[in-house]
Amino acid sequence: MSDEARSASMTVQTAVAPPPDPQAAVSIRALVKCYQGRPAVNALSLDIPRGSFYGIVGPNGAGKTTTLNMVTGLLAPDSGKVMILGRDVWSDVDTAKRIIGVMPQGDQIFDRLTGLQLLVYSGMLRRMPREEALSRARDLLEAFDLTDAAGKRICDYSSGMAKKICLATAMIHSPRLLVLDEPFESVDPVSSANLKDILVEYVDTGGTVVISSHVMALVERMCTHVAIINHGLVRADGTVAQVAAGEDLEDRFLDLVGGRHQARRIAWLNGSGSEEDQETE
Amino acid sequence: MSTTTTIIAMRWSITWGTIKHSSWQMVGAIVSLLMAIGICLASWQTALTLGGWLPGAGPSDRRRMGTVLILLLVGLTLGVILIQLIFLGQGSILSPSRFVLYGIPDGQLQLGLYLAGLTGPAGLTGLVCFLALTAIYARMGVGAAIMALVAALLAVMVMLALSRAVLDLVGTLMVARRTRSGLYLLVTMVIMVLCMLPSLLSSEIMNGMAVDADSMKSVADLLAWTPLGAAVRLPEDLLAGSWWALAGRLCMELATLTLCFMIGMLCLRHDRLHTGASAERSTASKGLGMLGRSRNAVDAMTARLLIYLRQDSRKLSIYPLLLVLMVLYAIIFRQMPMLIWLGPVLGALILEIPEGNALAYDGLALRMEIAAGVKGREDRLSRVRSHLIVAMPCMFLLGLVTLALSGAMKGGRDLVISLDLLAATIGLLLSGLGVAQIFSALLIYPVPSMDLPFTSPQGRAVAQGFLPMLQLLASLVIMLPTILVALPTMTKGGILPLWLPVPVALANGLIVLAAGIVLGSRIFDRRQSAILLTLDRYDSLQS
Repeated sequence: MSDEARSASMTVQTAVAPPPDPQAAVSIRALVKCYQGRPAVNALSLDIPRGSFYGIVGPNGAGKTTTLNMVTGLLAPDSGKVMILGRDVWSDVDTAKRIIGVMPQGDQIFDRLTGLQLLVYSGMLRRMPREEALSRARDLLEAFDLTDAAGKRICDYSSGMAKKICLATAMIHSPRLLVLDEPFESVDPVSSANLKDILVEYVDTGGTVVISSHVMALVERMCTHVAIINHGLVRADGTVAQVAAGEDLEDRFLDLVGGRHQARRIAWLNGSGSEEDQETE
Repeated sequence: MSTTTTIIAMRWSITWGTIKHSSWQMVGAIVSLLMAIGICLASWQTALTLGGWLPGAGPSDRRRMGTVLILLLVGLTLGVILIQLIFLGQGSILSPSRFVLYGIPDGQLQLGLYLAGLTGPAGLTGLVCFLALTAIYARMGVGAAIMALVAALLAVMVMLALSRAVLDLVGTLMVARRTRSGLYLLVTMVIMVLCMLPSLLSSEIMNGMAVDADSMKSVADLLAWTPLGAAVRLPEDLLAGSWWALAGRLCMELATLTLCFMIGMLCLRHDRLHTGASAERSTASKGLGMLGRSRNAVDAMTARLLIYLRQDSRKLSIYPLLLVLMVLYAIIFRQMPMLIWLGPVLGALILEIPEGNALAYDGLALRMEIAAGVKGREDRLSRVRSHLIVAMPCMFLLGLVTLALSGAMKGGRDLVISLDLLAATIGLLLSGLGVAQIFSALLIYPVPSMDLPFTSPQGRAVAQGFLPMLQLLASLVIMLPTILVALPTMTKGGILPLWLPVPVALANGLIVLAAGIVLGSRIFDRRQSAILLTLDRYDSLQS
């Protein structure tokens, strides 16, 4: 990391940002969050167009999760503005939460409930009548190939099944914005293909999907837009083609983020000294 | 370096690394070391005293000493096994599962882990302590002294082998979460009863139940033919020239060691064949269960809390405690039956302790509710409702049983005072719940995970001791109006009507509960982000 970049990451940026765009699915302006005086998100601004499949990528500790937590009303920002589908998140945070779908991680759900119970519970928390929630829950279980596991407790699910039920809880109230953190991690290829189909169909109906991921190939293949975040700032954003700028997206990511170095050759890492070698000698 | 010495060295490296990690760990280690030295010195002193007395003691006195030593050894062995069960699943550094990647033959691994346990801090303390006790036989001839040393070594080895075997068996066979929760509940009950034994034994109620020395001797004789107590008899067998008994007991101890070793090997083999197989068999639930009766978000959250309570041994274990408390007070205060009411009153306070840290019990899953835009008022109401649905009938039932036990059913003044105390119990339950609504939104401390209810997350000890005390104190202070009315009323010759504490206690409880819900809701709404950050931080302590 250059001295300039390091210094930028240590001090809070104070540039004046234009007002948020109400037409965007998500419009972030000069968002700041500091932990113990160190900025985790540093005057970050970003617009996510409606109907886009948006990938947010960045190395560990780049500020992706902190940003998404502030966007979804789970973490109050120190300063800055977030607008979702034309509504200011932090002036009416409960309403904002109800119009978006946030995919929880496996340890962020009530895993002693059965799959069916969790989906109905998730719907009812968002003020849906029980019968409506039950009907949608059954549809979702079918779409995610979980009908047979509907009566099983989630703590007994495989990690792939748990991932699917987490995504289903985020969709039950038919939000127009879905925020997903590593949605395809530990999901088998068949389920993953089904999930992708569901998400693509969702985007086709005008919904917006924001995913945070480390898998660059997936982002390149699935997303229409991408933002690369590092040290709490957006390094590049736009359509995938714009950000890639004629290169492979992963190479472009490494260029922008830096940190890759020549692999040091480890002399003994060639099988010498193993039990087989010793036996031969 | 052989595998065994590597495992032993690793064990001490990890222990030393943990001690160095923080100054508190260092202080704890020094205190433990001083305690261990104290125990060893006390054993040495006891052995010297008994050793001086033994040569002149008659056969009956020697038998009595043997009986006491056997019972102590058996009690200690069972205690060690119980402690191992409590910490089951804590991920001990001596768990075989931590070595599966290294291709160590099962026999070597078992031996290494066993010897690492034997040469660990607790194992060494036990070994030194038992070896010190052999001074009892120092003046009884070289043969007896040598046999005492062998017996001490065997006693420690068998104790460790048995506890490891029980742990291996339970770990291998009880993989299902529900079975483990059941075991935790059972062990909790046993521990509660054991903790209360000193109070029972020291109270006068045990008069007439004095333990008959002859029957204890018969029990000890029987136990001396089990692996739990056989080692104690070895020097006596040698002194008495009972060669067959000596050989038999030695063979039994060696057979036990071999059997425990084989159990460990079998468990390793079983784990290798079954790792990853689904432990849970039940997929029976078809409908929505309690959620099926919900009409709105508060109903749904209430139902969710009740579904969880049924599976959460961390909270469930409080309910049997209420019963144990009442039985204990019924025995202790047999001569002053109105004091049995202390049981329900104390029970009402204890029931509210987990509610004062309710959000920590939900853990990171609370994020799901906050992400859905749940309001503080809905959260507080659902917690109060779900708690009262279970706690209120329990306290009523406990009150009625206490009423019957206190002999107040005959009527008169005692009946009215009992009703006052029942109302005070209910009032305390309500006010404690009100206080808990504020505490749980404000002061969160780490709790063990649902799967490992006996583990002790770092940083919990101080908070778990102090914050519940603060909560209980607040719950009591806030019932001051009831106390101020009840005391002069119940005192003979009071000018206030005897029934007055009933409405005062209920009103006091209800007002505090309502205030607790309102205040707790506001705090919850204001601190949502901070609560999530705290739960995130504590989650890392649970693993």
